[in-house]
Amino acid sequence: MLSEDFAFRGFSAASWDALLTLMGQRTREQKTARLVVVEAPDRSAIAAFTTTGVIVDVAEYKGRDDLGQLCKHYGCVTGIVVREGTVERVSRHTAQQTATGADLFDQVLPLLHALREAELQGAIYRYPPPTLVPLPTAFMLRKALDLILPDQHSLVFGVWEQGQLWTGMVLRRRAGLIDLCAGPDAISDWVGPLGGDFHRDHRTITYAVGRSVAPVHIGLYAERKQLEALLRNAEPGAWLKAVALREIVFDPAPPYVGAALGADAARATAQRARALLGGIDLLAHLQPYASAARSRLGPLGSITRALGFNPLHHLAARLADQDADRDS
Amino acid sequence: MLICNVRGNAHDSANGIPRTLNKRDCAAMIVERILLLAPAPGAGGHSFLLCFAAMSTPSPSDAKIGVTHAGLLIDGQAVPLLAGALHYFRIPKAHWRDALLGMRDLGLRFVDIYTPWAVHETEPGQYDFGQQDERKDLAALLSLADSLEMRVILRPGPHINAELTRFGIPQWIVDDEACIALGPGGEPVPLLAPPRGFAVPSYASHKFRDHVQHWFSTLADVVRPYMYPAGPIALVQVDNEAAFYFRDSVYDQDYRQEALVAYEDFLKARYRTPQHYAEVHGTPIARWSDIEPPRHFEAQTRRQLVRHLDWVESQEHLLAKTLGEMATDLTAQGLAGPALTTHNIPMGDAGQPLGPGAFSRIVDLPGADFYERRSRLASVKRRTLRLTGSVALPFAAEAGVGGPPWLPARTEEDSLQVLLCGLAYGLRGFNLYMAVDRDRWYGAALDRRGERTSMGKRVGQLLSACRELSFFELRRRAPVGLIIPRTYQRLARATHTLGAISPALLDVSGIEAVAACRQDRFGFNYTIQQHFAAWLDAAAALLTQAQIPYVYVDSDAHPDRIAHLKTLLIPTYALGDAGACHLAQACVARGGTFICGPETPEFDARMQPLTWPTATCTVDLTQSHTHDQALAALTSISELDPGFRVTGADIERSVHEDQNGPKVLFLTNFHSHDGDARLRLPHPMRLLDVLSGVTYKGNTHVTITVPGYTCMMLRIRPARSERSTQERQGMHHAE
Repeated sequence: MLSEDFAFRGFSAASWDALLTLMGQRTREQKTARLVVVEAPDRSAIAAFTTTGVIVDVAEYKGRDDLGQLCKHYGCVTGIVVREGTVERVSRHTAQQTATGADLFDQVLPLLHALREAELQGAIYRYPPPTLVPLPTAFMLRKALDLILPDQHSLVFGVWEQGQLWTGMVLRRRAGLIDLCAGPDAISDWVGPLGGDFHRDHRTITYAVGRSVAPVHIGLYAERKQLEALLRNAEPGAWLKAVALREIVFDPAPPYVGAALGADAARATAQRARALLGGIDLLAHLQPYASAARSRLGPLGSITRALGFNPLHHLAARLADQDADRDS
Repeated sequence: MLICNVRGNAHDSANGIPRTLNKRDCAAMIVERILLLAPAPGAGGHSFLLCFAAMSTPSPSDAKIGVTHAGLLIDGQAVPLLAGALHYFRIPKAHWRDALLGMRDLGLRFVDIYTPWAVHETEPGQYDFGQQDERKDLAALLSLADSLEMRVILRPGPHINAELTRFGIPQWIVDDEACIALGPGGEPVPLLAPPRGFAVPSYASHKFRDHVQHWFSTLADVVRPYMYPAGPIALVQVDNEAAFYFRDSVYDQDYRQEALVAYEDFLKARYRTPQHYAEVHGTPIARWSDIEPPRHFEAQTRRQLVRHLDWVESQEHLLAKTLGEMATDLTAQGLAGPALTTHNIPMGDAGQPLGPGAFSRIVDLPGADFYERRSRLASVKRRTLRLTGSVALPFAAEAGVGGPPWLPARTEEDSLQVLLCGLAYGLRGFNLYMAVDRDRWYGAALDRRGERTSMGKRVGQLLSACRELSFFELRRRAPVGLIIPRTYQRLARATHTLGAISPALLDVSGIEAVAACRQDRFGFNYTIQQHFAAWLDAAAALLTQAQIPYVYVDSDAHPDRIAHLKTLLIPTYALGDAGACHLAQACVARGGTFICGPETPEFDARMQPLTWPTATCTVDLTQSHTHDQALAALTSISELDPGFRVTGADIERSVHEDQNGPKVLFLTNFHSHDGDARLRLPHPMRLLDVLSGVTYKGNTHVTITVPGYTCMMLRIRPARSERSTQERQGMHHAE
């Protein structure tokens, strides 16, 4: 999904770090210990270590059933067992499937699918067993990207703190591929001096980016504090409330944002109704109708459907994990 | 064997008859040297290539570049090796001048430029050096640098990286099956680097080498007029981050036919006859062609290990040989010669095929990359100490300022603290990468117009302090050397169990390079492939606790590197390392001492008998009860204690001095929490934090709080009353 001449510019170390932190990347010094065991074909361990630097005597490994116990003993939150030769087999498979010159996502997907296959065959085992998110195909990814950022358009994201553009990003898609990722410094070059209040500045930015980069398909503007809280809050209705209170501004807001916010409202209503109705899941009862309604949305679709999972929920969970790590 | 000295005179070691060398002799000689990993008698480790470079390129007799501990010696003048990277092809030509002036204003004297092959050869045989795109006008840039009195570090590749698509290698090269490396099953070896993964080129491919030669030749036509002494190019880099394009696991590559022929040649040179090979390996073979390279690890006994250790070493040899040949090509094209050759060792050096010791036999000035975060200052310390111990001029060939978007984010504080920590442990030159902002990068020191960014302001402050202190001329005395036996590193690489998630990758990720080794003993008493690393860690911890400065020295480094060391500490087992044995012998011959253990070596890497010199003591330092014995053996060097002992916190100090005594003190906190360092002062003094401007005063002691993951650079000044006494004494001396 990245073009050959993909350009990345306009970030300082601070604004790039801020953006990644917002997106749930572990940019700061959080170290979660993990236990890694390499098993021989007879299931005995031939190598074992923790990611915090402890080499574990292989004799201590009694098998996959005891992995949790061993993780606990070494203060590890998670553990992974890899059968000897698996990494080599996955590498070989990926090499055979990887077309040179292909798009990076097309190259990475065979790797992910080979890893998933290895896991399903038991060559890779994780503790605690994770919920396996369905792996999207290249087609699904493109479909999702078409929704978020159609060809020949741009996407803008701006976050303010203390009257300054704290971080932000402009993405552009051309010929089906993302060819630009620009940061706050580039935005400033295009826009000129800003007023310091995103409620007003967003119009200037959307206009300037539309003129200098490409027509803006979606713009999201917010204060740092509000956005951080929202990204960590998977509670139904939170996004709708934030939009209603203008804590965040979508400018422009493509139709699927409205649909997503509507769904968010529906989930919130259903949750409240469930509480009031003593646990009766209203949304489950309405599921056939909801499906029918969604099928009529046609091209709007939904990103969740395109990907097979809700990326916002995963981001919220990831950020929550990160907060928990930091607090501990 | 052919031997040549730094002036380029040659003689045959057998009969001492002077002899004129031609290019073929030179190439043959370098291959022989690399193969035997033997020092060049009479020549400094760094000047090996320079000697025949000078022979093949006519130059004025007074035009010389030398390497000193403080920088480069150019035309008799010491020039600190302070450089900054500028990607001319990524910024408008109109900004070049301002960018260079900004760099010069910052205190940088060298501009580091990649000249990417794919950027200039736009189609096969079609070149653009500014004719179509003015940003590619390399000659204009070199001319501009010259007019601004900036020296140039030229990096022609072929491997570039620089976050360029396909690492700056033309697409038709990586699409050509005759040019790419092959995995054990005959498949290409892809590197999934954004924005396009590509099949990595083969260091063994003749066709690839031919293409590279042609690229060098075309480039030479443009840059030759700008080579030292006529022009500004003083350093030329041979290839880049040579570690098989980060696909450096032992059984990952290269299995293409030419690589297998190179493997066979390596074995022929080592064993001479198939019979000798069979004898050592215990495998009957009639012909060399009967030998199959290992495609995965399968040894169970010590004898079976030999095959795998040979394979690992043959890969190192292939890499070294190819780089040596590229250096020869550059020299032949006039792209090296009086200008020195250099190379940057990538991150993850604890798990890579070649270390600084080996690189110092290939290029004049090996350097290393520094891209850690501040939470990994311990790793920065280790890499710097290895560079300091193994090469003449410890040089951060890429001192990361900012980073690319697809690696873990680094803050300004990360960049600054890593640089400070490198300086604390011996760096004496660096290249700010990036000095000037460019595409696919964030956080450079200068914007495209040469204006300082917030990071630039901090770097400027540091450089200004260094200049004021003549910092690069100071020395950090280290009387102890920790020897890294390369045989054990090879064994660790061979027994690694996670394939393409290589030891180097683990090292970069903050996990020990030896962590994923199989825990077999192969008939030895220890799991050598892991135990040696624990032994070295224990030795380092012991020395740190005793506040005795030390360096790491690769066992294949030039013996000159241990000339100033009083004591060596060497992990040893029944399986010994021939290089470490040579260094131990050289140390003893000079009257030095060495501590080894836990066992006395009996065999070399081919399981042949090894005569090991007598050690001062043989201990297993991983067992704490042996520490007193080891410390007792080290007491003779306590007189070299540089003072400023620290008590009360896990904070380390590093003292840098000139002939008049200590001038700069670094305090480094390797932990996340703040710590109070209580320093014992040799006399009343003031310590000035060169970055914050805070002064600490004391008569006999001073307590300084060092924030977590921070390195403080403190200028040592006498207390005011004492300074005036010293100044008076100085005046008396002057009179």
